[in-house]
Amino acid sequence: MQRGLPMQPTVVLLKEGTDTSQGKPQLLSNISACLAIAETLASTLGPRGMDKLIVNERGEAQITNDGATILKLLDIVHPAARTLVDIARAQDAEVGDGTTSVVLLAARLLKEVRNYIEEGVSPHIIMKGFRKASELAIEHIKSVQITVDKSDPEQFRSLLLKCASTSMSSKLIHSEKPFFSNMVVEAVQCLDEEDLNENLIGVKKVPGGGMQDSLLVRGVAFKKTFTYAGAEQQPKSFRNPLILSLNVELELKAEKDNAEVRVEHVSDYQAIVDAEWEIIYRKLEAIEKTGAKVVLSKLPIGDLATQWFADRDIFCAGRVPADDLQRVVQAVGGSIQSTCSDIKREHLGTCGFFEEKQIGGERYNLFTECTKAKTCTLVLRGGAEQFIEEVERSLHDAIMVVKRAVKNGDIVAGGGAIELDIASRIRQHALSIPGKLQMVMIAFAKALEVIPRQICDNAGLDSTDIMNKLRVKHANGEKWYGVDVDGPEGIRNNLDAFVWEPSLVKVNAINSATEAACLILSVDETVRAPQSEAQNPGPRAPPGTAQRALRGRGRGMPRR
Amino acid sequence: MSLKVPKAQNIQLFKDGYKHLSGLEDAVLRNIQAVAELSDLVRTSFGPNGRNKLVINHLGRLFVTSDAATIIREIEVVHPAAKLLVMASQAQEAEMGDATNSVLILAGEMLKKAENLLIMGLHPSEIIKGYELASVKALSELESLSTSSLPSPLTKASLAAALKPAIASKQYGYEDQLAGLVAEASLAVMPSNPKNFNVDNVRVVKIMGGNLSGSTVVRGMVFGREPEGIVKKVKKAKVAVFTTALDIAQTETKGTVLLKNAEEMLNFTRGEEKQLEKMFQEIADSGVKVIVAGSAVGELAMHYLNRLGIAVLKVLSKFDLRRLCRVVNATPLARVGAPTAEEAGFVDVFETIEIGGDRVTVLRQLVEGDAEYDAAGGSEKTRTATIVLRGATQNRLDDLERAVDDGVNVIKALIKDPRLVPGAGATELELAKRVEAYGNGLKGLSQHAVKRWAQALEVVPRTLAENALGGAEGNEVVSRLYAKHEGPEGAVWGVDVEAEKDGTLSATEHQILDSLAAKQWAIKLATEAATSVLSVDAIIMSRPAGGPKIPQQAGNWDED
Repeated sequence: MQRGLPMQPTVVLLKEGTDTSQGKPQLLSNISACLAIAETLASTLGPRGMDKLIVNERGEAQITNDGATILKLLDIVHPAARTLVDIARAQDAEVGDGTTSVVLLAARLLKEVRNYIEEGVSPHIIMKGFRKASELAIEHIKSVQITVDKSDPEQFRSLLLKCASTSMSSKLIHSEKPFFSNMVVEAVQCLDEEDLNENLIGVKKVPGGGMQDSLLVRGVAFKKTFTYAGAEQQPKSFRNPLILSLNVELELKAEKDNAEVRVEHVSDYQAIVDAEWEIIYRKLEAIEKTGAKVVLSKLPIGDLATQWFADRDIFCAGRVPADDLQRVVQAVGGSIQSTCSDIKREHLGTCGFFEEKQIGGERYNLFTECTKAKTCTLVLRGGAEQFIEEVERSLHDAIMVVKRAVKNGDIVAGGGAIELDIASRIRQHALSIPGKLQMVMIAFAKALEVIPRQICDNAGLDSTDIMNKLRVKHANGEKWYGVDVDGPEGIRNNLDAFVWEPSLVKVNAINSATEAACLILSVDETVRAPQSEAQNPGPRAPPGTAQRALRGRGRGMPRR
Repeated sequence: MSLKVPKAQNIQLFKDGYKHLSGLEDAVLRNIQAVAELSDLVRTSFGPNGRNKLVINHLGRLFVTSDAATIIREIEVVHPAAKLLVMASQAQEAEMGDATNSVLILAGEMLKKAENLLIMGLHPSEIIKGYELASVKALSELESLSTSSLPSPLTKASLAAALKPAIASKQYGYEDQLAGLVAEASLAVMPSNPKNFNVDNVRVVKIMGGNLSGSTVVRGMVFGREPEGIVKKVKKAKVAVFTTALDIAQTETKGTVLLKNAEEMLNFTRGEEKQLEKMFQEIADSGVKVIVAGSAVGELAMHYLNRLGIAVLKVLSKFDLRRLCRVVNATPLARVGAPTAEEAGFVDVFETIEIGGDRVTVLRQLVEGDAEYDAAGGSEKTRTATIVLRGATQNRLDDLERAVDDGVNVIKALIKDPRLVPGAGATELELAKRVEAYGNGLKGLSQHAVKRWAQALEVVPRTLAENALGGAEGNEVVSRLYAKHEGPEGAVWGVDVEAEKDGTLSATEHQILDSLAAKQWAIKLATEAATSVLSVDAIIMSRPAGGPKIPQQAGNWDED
C-alpha cells in the first residue's frame, strides 16, 4: 500500500511468531493440500479398490479401505485439508457409507476450478455456480430415484439385499457378498422398525476359522465371563428359562463403607458373622424364589453364590459388560434390578433357548429364540485380528446403508451411473445459461465423473474409452448405465445388474462435498497464531502417506 | 515535518529496556500504520461477498469465518494502538452484536485520511476537533435518514426481512433460510412485552452431517444425550427439576454408622431401600412423569424410577438447567422430594430422536398448528427456543452459529430502536455527502478534517463494491452512487453486490435495511477510537517482566 512516508521499521501488529499468508497463492496451496489427500484415498474406491495398511505410533497395524477410517488414522494437520476429514466423518455419521466418494468429489471440484482461480475468476462466482449445480443435482436425483414398494416383504427384502451387497462390493468381504448381505439384512430386520438403533446390533469378534463361519445370533451372545469354582456344575442349556438381570454384587462384603460394628461379647461376634452370611443367603433365596434359571449381574458373583446356584441348577454369570446386559434386557424383556428384594415376575425376562457354546477358542453364552427380540448379535470369524476388524467396519457400512434404505426406500443405480446421469443433466442445463456460471457448472459436471472414472482406473480398465461409451449411453437417455468391472464390455445397465444404492447416500455426498469445496474456496487468508505451548508435536505421520499431504503446505505469499 | 532537536546523549530517564517513542514520526504515524494494517486485514471480509479467513488460534483450534469480532479475537493483536480499535469493535459487539467490521474499517479509514493531513502539517488536536464536529453532524443527519421502522406487532415475515441484510453479510446465499429460522425461533420466545426479549433464550445446537436445509427450530431444548432410564418417550407430562443428586442422602460430615447387634445389620440395607422407594413413590404419586437431575443419579434410585416408569434426564450444566426450567416453567428443587403444584413444570413432548448419527433428547412444547395440539391442554408457552443447525463440517457449523448469534442480536437491537435506514452503503454515502457540504461551510482549519472524515465514510460502499466486483470497480461505483444521490429520492441508492446493471440499486426497493442504532454506534465508536489514537503523542513501553509465563486460561467462549 502506498504510504507517503519514508521507509519505516516494520510495525509489529500481531504477536510474534504469527504466520499469515493471503491471496491467490494461499488458496491454490490449500487446494493442492486437499488434492494430495484425495490422491491417497483415490485408489481405495470401487469394487477393485485397494486397501491401505496403516501403522500407528504404537506399531499396531490396521488394514482398511474405509475412507473415514483412513483419514482418521492419518492424523492430518493441514487446516484446509482437515475440512475433508470433517466431511468424511459427517458422511460416516449421517449415512455411514460413501465416505471415500465424498472426499474424492470435494477434491475434484476444487481441482476442476483451480484453473479458473488462476485465471482470476472470483471465488464467489464459483461458489454460486457450485451451489446452483448441487441444487440441480439433488433435484435430478429426486426425480429419477426409484421408490421401492415396501408392502411386498419379499420384494423389499431383495431390495435391501442388493443395497447391502453393493456397499460390500468395494470391501474386503466382497468374495462372500451373498453370505454377508443376507446376514446384514437379517440383522437390521431384527431391529425395531420405528427406532432402528444400530447400537443394538452387537458385534463380537472371535479370531480363528474362516469368514464363512461367522454367524448371526437372533438374540444376544456374549463371551463367557469370569466365573468362580462351581460354575462347571451349573447346567449349560435351558429351554424357556426365566432370566434375571441384576446390578447387585452377590458376594460376602461390607454392607456400607462407613458402617462400624462394636461388640461386647465373643458370642455376639459370631452372631455378626452369621448375620453377614444371612444377608447374602436372603438375597440368594429371594432370587431363587423368583424362579429365575439364568442369573446375570453387572457386578461380580462370588464363590459362595456360584456354588449355591450350582446346587439349585441355576446358571449365573457375573461381571457382564453393561452394554451386553442392556441388550439382553432388550432381547428377553424384564429390566435390570438393583436390589434383590421385591422382584416380581414382570421384572424377569425369558427366551426360547439358552446355551453356553464353544465358538472357536472361546466359550459364548447365547440367548436365542427371544420373545421380544429387538436386537441381534453378529459373531465374526476370521484369520487375523486386522482382518476381522476390517470385516466389522465393512459390515457397519452395510448395516448403515440397509438402515437408510429401510427408512426411506428410495434407490438409485450405483457404479457411477447416477453420477454420470447428473453430469449430463447439468451439462444440458449449463448450455442454456449465459456467463461465467456456465463454465463453473460444467466444471461441476466434470468433477462428478471422477467416481466412474476412478472405478475404472482402479479396476485396470481404460477409463477414457469407457467414459466415452457411457456418455453415449447417457446422451441417448439410458440413464442407468454405469461401469461394469467384471464384464468384457466394461459397461452395463446397473439397475438391471442390481448395483443399487440408497439415494440418500448420494444426496448427502453431493451436499457435503459442495459445502466443503465452497468453504475452502471462501478462504482468502490464513492466520496462524503461535501455539501457546509446544505440546509434544503429535504422533509422527506414517511414512509416505501423510507426508504427501504435508507437502502441499506452502504457505503462499507472506504478508509484507 | 516536525523538526527534531537532537537529544543529549546519556541522560537516562527510564530503567534499562524501556522503549520510548515520541513525536509525530515515531508515535502517531506508526500507530496509524499499524491500525491501517489491521483494518486492511479485516476489510476483505466485509459485506455479503466478503471472503473468509482461516484462523488457527494459539490452541491450534481452527476457525473459518468472515466475522470480524471472531477474527480479531483469535489473532491476538499486540500493537497498543491497534488494540484501541479492537476494543472499540468489542464495545460494538457488546452493544449491538453486529457491525463490528464496520467499526474497524471506518476507524482505520479515518486514521488513514488523517495521515495526509498530519504530513501536511496539521496538528493532531485540530484533526480531532474536526472529526468530532463531523461525527456530531453525521449523527444528527442520520436521524433524518430513517425511511421505515420495524412494524409492530412483529410477524415472522417482517422480522426475517429485517434480519436478512445482517445475515447475508455472514452467510451470503443462505440468508433466506437462516433469517427464517432465527425469526421463527425469536418469535417463539418473544415475551408479551418485546422490550424484555433476552438473546439467551435462543439457543443453538450443532449437529454435524446433512446440510443447512435440514436445520429446524425446536420450541424447547435439545440435549445431546439420551435419558438415563428405560423410559425414552413421554407425552404431556409433569416435570420435576432437581439440582441435587438423586440418591441416598450422604452426610457431609464424616460419620460412621454404629451397628450394635446382628439384627441391626440385617435390617440396614432394607431400611435404605425402603426409604428410597418411599421417596420416589411420593414423587410418582404427585403425578410427575419426567425428572431432570442436575447431578448424578444413583443406581438404586434409577432402579425405582424405572419401576415407576419415570423418565430421567441428566443435565449437568447449571446454565442449561436454568434454561430448561424456563422451558417447562418449573422451579429447581434443591432437595429430593415431591414437588408442589407450583414447583412442578409441564412439558408436552419428551422424546429421544435421531438426528444424523446423534441420538438427542428433545423437550418441547406444542403450539397451535401442531398435529396433537390441544388448546385446552394448558400447555406452557416455552421461553427458550433451540435452532438445530446441520452442516457438513464443524467449522461451517461454528460459522453458521455466529451468523445466528448476530441475527438474534439484531432483533434485540431492533426491538430497542425499530428505526431502519437503507443499507448496502447508501446511508454512509448520503452521510458523506451531507457532511462534506457541512464541511465546506465551516471556517478555519477544522474544515479540512471534517471533509476528510466525510471521505472516510465512503469506504463502506467502496469496500462492498471492491469485495463483490473486484478491485477496480470500487471507485467507479462510488462515483456512480454520488451521481444517483444528487437526484430526487437519491438517498436510498446503494451498492448492488450482484451487479446486474451498473453496480447500484435502490436499497429500499430490494429490502436491504439496516438498524439505525447499529450505524449510530458504529460511527460513534469508530470516531472515538480514531481520535484517541490521534491524541497519543508518545508511547512508553516498559520492559516485559521476566519469570515464568503465566498459563493462559482458555475459558470456553460460549460460557456465560
